Amino acid sequence: MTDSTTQSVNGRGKPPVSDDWSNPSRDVRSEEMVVNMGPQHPATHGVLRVAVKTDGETVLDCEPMVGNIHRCKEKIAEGNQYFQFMPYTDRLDYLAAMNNEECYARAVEKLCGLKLGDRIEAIRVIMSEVGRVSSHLMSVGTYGLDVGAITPFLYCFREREEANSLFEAISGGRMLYHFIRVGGVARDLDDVWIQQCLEFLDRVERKMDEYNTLLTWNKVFQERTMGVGVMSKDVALRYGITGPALRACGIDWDVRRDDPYGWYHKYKWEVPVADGRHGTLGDCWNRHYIRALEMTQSISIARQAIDSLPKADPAGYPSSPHHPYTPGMPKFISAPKGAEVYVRSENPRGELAFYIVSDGGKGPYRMKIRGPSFVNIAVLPEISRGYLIADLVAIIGSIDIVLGEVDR
Amino acid sequence: MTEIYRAADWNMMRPGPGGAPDDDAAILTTIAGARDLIAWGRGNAVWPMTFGLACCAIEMMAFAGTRYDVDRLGSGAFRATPRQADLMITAGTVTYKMAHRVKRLYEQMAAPKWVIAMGACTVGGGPYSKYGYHVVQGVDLVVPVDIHIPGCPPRPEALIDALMKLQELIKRRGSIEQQASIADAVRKGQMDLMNGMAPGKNSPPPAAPAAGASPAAPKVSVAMPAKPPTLTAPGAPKPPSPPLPVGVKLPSMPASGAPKAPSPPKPYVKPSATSPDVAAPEAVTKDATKAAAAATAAAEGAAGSAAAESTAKKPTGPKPPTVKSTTEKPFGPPVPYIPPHQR
Amino acid sequence: MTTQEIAALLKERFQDKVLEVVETDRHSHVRLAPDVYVAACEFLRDDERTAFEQLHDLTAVDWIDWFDVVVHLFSIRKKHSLCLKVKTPSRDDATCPSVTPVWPAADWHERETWDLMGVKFPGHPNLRRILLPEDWQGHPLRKDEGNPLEYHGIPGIAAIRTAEENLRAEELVKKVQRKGGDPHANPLGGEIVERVRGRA
Repeated sequence: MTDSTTQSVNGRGKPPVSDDWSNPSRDVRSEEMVVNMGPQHPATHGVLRVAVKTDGETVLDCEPMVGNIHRCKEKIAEGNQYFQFMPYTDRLDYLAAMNNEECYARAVEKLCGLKLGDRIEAIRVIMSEVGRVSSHLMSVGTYGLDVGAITPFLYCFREREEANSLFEAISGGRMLYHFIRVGGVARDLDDVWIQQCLEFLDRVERKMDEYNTLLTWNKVFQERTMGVGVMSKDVALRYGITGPALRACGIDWDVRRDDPYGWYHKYKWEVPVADGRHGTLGDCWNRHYIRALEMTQSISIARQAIDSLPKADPAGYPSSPHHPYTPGMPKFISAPKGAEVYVRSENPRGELAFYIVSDGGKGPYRMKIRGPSFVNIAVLPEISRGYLIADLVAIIGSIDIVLGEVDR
Repeated sequence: MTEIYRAADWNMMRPGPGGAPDDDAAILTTIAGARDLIAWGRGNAVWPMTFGLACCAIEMMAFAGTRYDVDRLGSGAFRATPRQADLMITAGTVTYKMAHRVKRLYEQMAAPKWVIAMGACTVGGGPYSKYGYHVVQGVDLVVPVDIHIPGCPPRPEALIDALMKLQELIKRRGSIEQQASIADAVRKGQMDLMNGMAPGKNSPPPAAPAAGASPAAPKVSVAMPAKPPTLTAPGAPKPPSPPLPVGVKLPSMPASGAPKAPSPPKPYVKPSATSPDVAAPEAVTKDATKAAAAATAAAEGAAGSAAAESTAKKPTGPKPPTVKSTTEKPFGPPVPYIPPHQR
Repeated sequence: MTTQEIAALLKERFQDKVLEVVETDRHSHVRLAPDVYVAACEFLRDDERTAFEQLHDLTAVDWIDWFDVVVHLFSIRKKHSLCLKVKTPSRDDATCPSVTPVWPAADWHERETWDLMGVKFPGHPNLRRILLPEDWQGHPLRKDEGNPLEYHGIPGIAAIRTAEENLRAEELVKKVQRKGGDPHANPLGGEIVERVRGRA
């Protein structure tokens, strides 16, 4: 497991020791050692491997090594038709499958020039936001698990199971849905489901205080995460960080508001941004707190979307509940030759983007998936130098990666 | 149940590397039924390893979580280290980069150990089979698998079902020798596959060791275990086979009587519905004879092993290749599980 | 700012090195000559009018004869975006200057592009494979790459299919022989056997 060597971990040859740690008045310098963390490690959220160069318990440098579940998604996309790739997008960020589907469907619709009905757009917003709540429940729960609190995991999973049941009722899948289709959705929402969804949103909103009391305002948790893994604004921008990790640095940016897509411009909500009142701006606690606040906002958006859900247009309505509700979808879709599109959306973990190049065929000539986790985890060496090994677990958990999206 | 066995034999006969004699178990050999006791204990305290690979790991967490609560089955103690774990649930896609780590984790586990392949990816590549240049076409090419679960991802109920099947497999003593012969056949089929031949064709001579038998064999052997170690000397008689209770009819035995030992091996036939548990040996045997058929069926987008099984069981399909060597024991009929109170 | 306005700024500074400006309703891009690519990126990042702090994405497209390196930039302050394209000299000489010194975010994107597409980025401090293992042969996202036969003794889908075809061909030969015919007289059977033997 361990390897005693003094070579630089990332091979760049620059001294990883910060000024603070090269201070000669420091007590003891022990032998430098490279410790391998993962890929089978309970706190790496999958199969991330991190080579950590340590001095005692201090992290001098580290390098994340990814690719352990590289599943060739881009090659698969080149071999399939546009609509056939939709189930694979579920498996990118498998905790927020609805959001991935929504982004991919929008990319293909923009590429092929399809227009959607109002009701479809509203349904997609509802699904994305409930999916975001479900994903953040998982993030909050497992982040507690990472830093040693087991109870929040059990509480969050109780609500997440309800979200899974809710999605299962409408799409048939607990975790990977294939619900949003190119040109529409798989099924129209019925009143029973909407009622269940509203009840779910109410319940989660009531429980938010519980989670915050258990975890966010817990003194032990705060001691463990406040002031740890501080990411400055400059680092966040240069490394292309997006999502809650960016907003935890105090940068007010949300694609849903600033570059609106779908129907997000119709609803009123706030973008939670860290202000540094608690902890240090850009630390692990703030990243966790932004997620907790985003859940409340997502619940608000989903409620507004349900309240103002437009009536279905009878023209494009499916004749049977077994047929997909895709009024904007022609029988065959193909994009003009040489057309390109770059579409991004605000996922729970950051900005997911699809870059699709068409050669006029039924499938993409080239597809690049920009996974937010892939970009966000690259900053790990920058923000973990000088902290303890135990803090590294807290930092990885607060960035909240999903390896399916890192490796694609 | 008058025969007394060394409890360690139970451990030895299981296919897998490093079946070291268990001293504590050997002490218990003087007690009749100690094997029952050990099997009961092992079956009811299967500790899984905390080892998630991909999407299925989330369902594995749900399986350990609040609603499905696997603690009631005695498997709630997820161990973060393979040294303390009995069960590896390969939950998710295995890639070439990860395969050697999966193999090493399996080797680090102390015997007896079991593997559940969870999800279509680990059964046969799943949705990534066709264009997946980096995806292993089923985790059984890397480690021996006891139970396969189809689905993408399987529901937690399916995982609970697989766990209960595994518990029965552990508690049922008659299947162990059968497992060893099946594992041999699987290993042979894999060697054939790696040499570019159809499984079962042109098997290496039985005297030769498994890995490195032919010059074309790859340098790194696949993680299938070597021959199950035996306690007996080479010339000594085989350890006694587990007893069959008198009066219990074997389900798929022909009416004329038991087949003779050197008779040509027959393809595995699914036992009749009277057998109380058929899923586990079926799942294992499917690999032995129909690995290639299953892999192709999965490659063509069949959703998991259920479709692969149906493809392989077509009467018009290609006959499963047979093991050529006559010294090998053919696949016997599965020994039914006898509940403890009837023994 | 629109792509046309940004392209005007670039033309003002780099004159004829701005090769192409394409603006459609789907996607717009500016094609630059490789020799001014890094300088243009620095200019785009540091100029107050453009202020592209973030490199959002970097990838490459295989056009058989050459590769296009495609960069997507976003500005949070100005809320605008830009797509840059750079052509590599040829397929054999697939190189493009690295922008990792300009945006550290390009580090992993360029490593991934090298890993999967085989485009080299001179100037990158640490150009190694990132997703695939270090000893992997080939760059799988190129259009002429297929599935591997095996990796470290684990058979790939291609090997399994070859074994399957062997099995099917032999079955076919046996079937013909059972009927008393010559297997090679059957054009289909003979062809399959020859093809499979040639591959094996």
